[in-house]
Amino acid sequence: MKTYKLTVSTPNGHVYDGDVVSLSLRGADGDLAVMAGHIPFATVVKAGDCHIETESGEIIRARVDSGILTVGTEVTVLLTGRFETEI
Amino acid sequence: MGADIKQLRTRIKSVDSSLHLTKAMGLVAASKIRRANEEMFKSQEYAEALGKMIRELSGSPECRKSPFMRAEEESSGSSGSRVRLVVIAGDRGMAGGYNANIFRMLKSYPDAEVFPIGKRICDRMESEFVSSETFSSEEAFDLAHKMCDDYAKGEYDRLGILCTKYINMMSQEAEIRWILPVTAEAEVVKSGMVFEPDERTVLDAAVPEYVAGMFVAAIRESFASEVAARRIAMDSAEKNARQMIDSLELEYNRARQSNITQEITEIVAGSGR
Repeated sequence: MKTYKLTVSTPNGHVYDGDVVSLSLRGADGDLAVMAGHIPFATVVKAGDCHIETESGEIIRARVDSGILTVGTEVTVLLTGRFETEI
Repeated sequence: MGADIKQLRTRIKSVDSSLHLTKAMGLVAASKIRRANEEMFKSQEYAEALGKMIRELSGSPECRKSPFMRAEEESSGSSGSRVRLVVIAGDRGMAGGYNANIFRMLKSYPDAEVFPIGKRICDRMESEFVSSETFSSEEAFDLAHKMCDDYAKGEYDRLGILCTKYINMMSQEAEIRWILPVTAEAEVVKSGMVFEPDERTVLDAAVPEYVAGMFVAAIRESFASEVAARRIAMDSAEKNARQMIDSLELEYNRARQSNITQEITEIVAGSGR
């Protein structure tokens, strides 16, 4: 699977930094998923669940606060107030 | 003479205990510096990323209608410039001029509505105590949302943070960072990015996040400055205390010696009879 670089940034620092296959969360217009090769775009993120599929196939589930998702050509950045992974 | 020696001994003892205190405080500050610095850099990254995005968005004509981009001249015409300041000072003293610099700067804004963070400034403003050392990002978000809501309602015209800029270990400087209204970039940076649902919605959602990010960054930076300022202040206090002990000990030894000399003279004079 093709991967892309994802950074999850909160005021307490980068909580996730690595290559991922997909990222799915709740955007302003409904649920969305971002995979490698997506066009650059930015959207509003609503508070809710967020799933990250990593390079190794592991799925990280987390709760995010409202924030902004920026998909760039090189790196995708999720800026949110809180990112709490479920163990 | 005997009373003089006793007095000197008590003085030396008391200066010595002050020395221990300053040494301990200096060590505590030194141990906190590394963590405070790390947290400062982490929070700056977040605020910078959002700041960059807002700068990009502010150039778009659609976003100029946003309540957060209200031009200052527009509002000042009707209601004057009402300023709100979030003032960040320390929870504790003994940090050199750290708190005093903040208070001094605040004096130049006598009409500003102040939201204090940190025990020293809270006491001064006689408001409820909010700790600057343990201020969480959740609290920052709550405060930022309140500030943005009030701003959108037009309750005030300008929002600033009065905090301390961390330049390096040796120097810190009090400064004001104006965050609202968002100023439009003269040069529009076109990155070809698509905004969903539209630029203005993204901007309106990004501004509270940005304000919260700026609050957290300013608080962490101020704390790093406070710790560094305390370390420096304690270092010089330690040096002064040592100097004082040295000169007091010299005086004490002189007094002691002259006492002994006098006693010897008395004994010699007595035995000669």
